[in-house]
Amino acid sequence: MIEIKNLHANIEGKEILKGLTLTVNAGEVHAIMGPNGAGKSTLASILAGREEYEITEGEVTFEGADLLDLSTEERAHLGLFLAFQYPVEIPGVSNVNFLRTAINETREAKGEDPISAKEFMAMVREKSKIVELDSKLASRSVNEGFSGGEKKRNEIFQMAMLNPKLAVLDETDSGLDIDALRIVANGVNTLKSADNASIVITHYQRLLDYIVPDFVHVLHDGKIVKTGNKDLALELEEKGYDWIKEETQVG
Amino acid sequence: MEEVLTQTKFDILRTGLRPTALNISDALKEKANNVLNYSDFPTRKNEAWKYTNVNGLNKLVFDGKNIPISEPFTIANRSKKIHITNGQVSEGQSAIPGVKTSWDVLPEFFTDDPFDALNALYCTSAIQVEFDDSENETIELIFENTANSAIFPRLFIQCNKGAKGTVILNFQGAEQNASFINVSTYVNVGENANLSIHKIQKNGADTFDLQREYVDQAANSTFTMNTFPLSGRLTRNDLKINVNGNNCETFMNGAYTLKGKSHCDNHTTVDHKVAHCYSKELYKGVIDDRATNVFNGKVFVRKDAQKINAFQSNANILLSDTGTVNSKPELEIYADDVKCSHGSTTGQLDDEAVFYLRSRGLSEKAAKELLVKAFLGEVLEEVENEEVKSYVEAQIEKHFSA
Repeated sequence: MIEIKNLHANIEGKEILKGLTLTVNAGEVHAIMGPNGAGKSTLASILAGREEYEITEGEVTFEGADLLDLSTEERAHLGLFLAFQYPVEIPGVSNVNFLRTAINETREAKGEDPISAKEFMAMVREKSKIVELDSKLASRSVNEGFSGGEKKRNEIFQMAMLNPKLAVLDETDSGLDIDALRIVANGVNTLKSADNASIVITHYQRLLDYIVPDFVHVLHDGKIVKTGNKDLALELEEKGYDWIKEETQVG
Repeated sequence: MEEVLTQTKFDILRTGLRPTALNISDALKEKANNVLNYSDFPTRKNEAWKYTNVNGLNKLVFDGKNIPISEPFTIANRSKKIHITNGQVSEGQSAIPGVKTSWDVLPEFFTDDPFDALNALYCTSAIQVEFDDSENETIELIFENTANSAIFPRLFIQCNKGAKGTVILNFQGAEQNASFINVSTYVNVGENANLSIHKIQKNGADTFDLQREYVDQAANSTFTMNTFPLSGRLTRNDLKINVNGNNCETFMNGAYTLKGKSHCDNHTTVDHKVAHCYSKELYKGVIDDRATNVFNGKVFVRKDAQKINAFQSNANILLSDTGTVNSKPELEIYADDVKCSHGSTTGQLDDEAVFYLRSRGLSEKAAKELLVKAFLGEVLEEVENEEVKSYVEAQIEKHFSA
């Protein structure tokens, strides 16, 4: 699905990623954990195509394409989805209208016909249920006046509508209470299939009680320094990140 | 010496103009000539023209070169229409009740604005629209400009006591048109009357369009002015509203899309002379390329005009690094029990919002277009006339596809 090799990236001259390597296959859930400033959100931003970052070395192959060579929207058309840590409020742009445009642009890129109004509305009804998002919220302006939890649920709703191959969830658990966390996680689990994959970026183990990862990676100082199964997350929860830092320095 | 002096007046411009063929009274002629004799041609030193340079007017050549409009349009299907071609009321149109296009002598309305004086002296057509009952009739004046010419329509819009009316001023020019459009519109909104004017300015790329509306509102009346400067070399609108009676409502909305070297200037004044009135103004626009925009909105609340609610807002989005906006909202309040607010913002499209939309699969162009439409949508929501609204919406879309 996606293969990241020896990725180095700078922002404003400061190196953030220092040789990150990661392979994710279809059907897998990977969690990326790490202390603040390790480069977790940078990774998410680079995958989605944020232009502020300069890639100095390495490559990323997604669905056979050179991902770094594609524009943000082309990545979306290929099936990449980023759930934002801070979803943007866009007054005056209705959630469903923009999603319809998004779906149709993706369909057009694939040479498919636009979605019919009937089919689209049926999809809105079906997918908003997954994250228990009020259909009124679905038709309101994008994220405007939404609570933190509603914004995150809206991210997963959009993910459900766009049906991506690879979803990158950037600290989707931040700012969520336990009920919202359960709803969001349940949404992600419902959407999981043998054909898609997700990268769950999180600081805390809490989310991984609900979204059970196949792999847990620890990102520290721009590199993946440790990989394990879900038990690694529990160990991190118990011991914090300092032992990883020490271990890395010794190594 | 003599020549230096006259050059600072309107003489250069006036040499190229043909005096009106309509009958104007000696008194009006004298007043207009006086104004033009003592007024200087506007320069940056003049506060009202500080950011709008109209020197280009003197360089226009009214050679009459005729270029047809590629896509002529009418706005409202069921409106009663009058066509005015290159300033002249087209012949052979059937008479419309309430609309007067021929005069023994022009009405005496007059201000001390030199451009109004020019309008009177060189008037190419005078049209009166009068509404007399409470049925909401729509009258559309279609000004088609295909020849490079100087046109001076003088308009009188009268909405009588208890009447309801809608006027669409539809200005359109051939894309390459280089005309001087100069319009004076005198508006009278009677007691309990409700008048809406929608003005579309879709002028040729080299056209100068200078317009003034002088509005008087009587008690319990509602007046709405929606202004849409969509294209042209230079557009200047002076909207002056005197709210003379109690319990009036006044709405002013404007949306503009500027690109290339266009310049647009909206000056508005609402003068709340008496108590218990409400006014709301919302002007929003997008500025691309090297275009420039000026907004100056004045709200006066006179002494003893208590319980006035007046709101004013101007917001601009710059789509390029080379566009310019000068925005000046002004409030002058002499009463103490009022609720007034004003605000002005100028910024760029939210990069984060563009990125968010692109990450969902929208192209950069589609994302920006969606955001601009949403931004201007706030103004269009205020427009009750669906046909005007959908026309302007379509123009905004076209603005991006061009």
